[in-house]
Amino acid sequence: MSGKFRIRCPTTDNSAYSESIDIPYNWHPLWVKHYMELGCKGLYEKIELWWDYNSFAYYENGLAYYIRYVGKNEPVGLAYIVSGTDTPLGDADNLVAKNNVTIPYG
Amino acid sequence: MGLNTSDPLTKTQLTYRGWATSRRQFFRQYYDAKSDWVNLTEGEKYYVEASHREGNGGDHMAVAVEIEQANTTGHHHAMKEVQYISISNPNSVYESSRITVNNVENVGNYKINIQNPKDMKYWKSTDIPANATASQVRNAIKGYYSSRSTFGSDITVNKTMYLANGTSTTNQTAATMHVFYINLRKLITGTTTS
Repeated sequence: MSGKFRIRCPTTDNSAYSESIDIPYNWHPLWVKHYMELGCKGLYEKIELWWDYNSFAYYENGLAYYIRYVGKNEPVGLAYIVSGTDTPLGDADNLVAKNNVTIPYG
Repeated sequence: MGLNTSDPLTKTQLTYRGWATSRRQFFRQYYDAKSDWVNLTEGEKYYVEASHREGNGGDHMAVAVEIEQANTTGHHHAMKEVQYISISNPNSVYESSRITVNNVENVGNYKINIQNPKDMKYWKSTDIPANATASQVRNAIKGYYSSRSTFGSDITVNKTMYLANGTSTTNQTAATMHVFYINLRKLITGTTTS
């Protein structure tokens, strides 16, 4: 893994999205959380984000985060990771993005 | 934290916490910084007081009110959503090296010298017993792989033993060849290990 990525936050009906700025792949999750909160509408101070060490021991192996929407008392769109625009993730053509809800709202 | 309908002098204590929490941790329902439910009457005014004593500086306090109403959309008792997002190359191949120790007699020690491909200098391991386990080999050489000047990576080491006729065995005494498979846990590109 190299380069930069963005976290994209779609609306619940997937009709629109907001997103973070480009984030270097090896930045600490605290910064990932910070830029997700700044870029994604309605999420400022309303998420917890932590690195999933069980998926990848190193940033170079891949990126994996859990996001808990602590301040959202409503369903939210399913976020996902996309390659950055000014410095795309390395080997971008072979990357596979995954996302799912591990604990549903309600 | 106290509350009364009108008179601050007759306030009652709603909740108390004797030590600090992280910022805005009232979202966590298992913390005792949250009071029990208090019945309010529509149209009435209420006095709420929060007291905070700072310890060693840098402290602050925040108060939040949540409303229990069964038909309220997004009740705070509802489970908060958790999402998992990831991106990776599922076909990534992690570097693997193999070290073969021949003619093992299960006595004495040896060292492993590893040539750093960046500067072609050799790194020397600590002493390794001739009958070393995979764990012992890992402990002897992990310093090379974890160094910032090399890969900054943890490693796993697996061991396979062979008899003189080439068949694999678990008999340490009978084995004459030990093969150690060294696998980097960090994905790297552009360098190899001699």
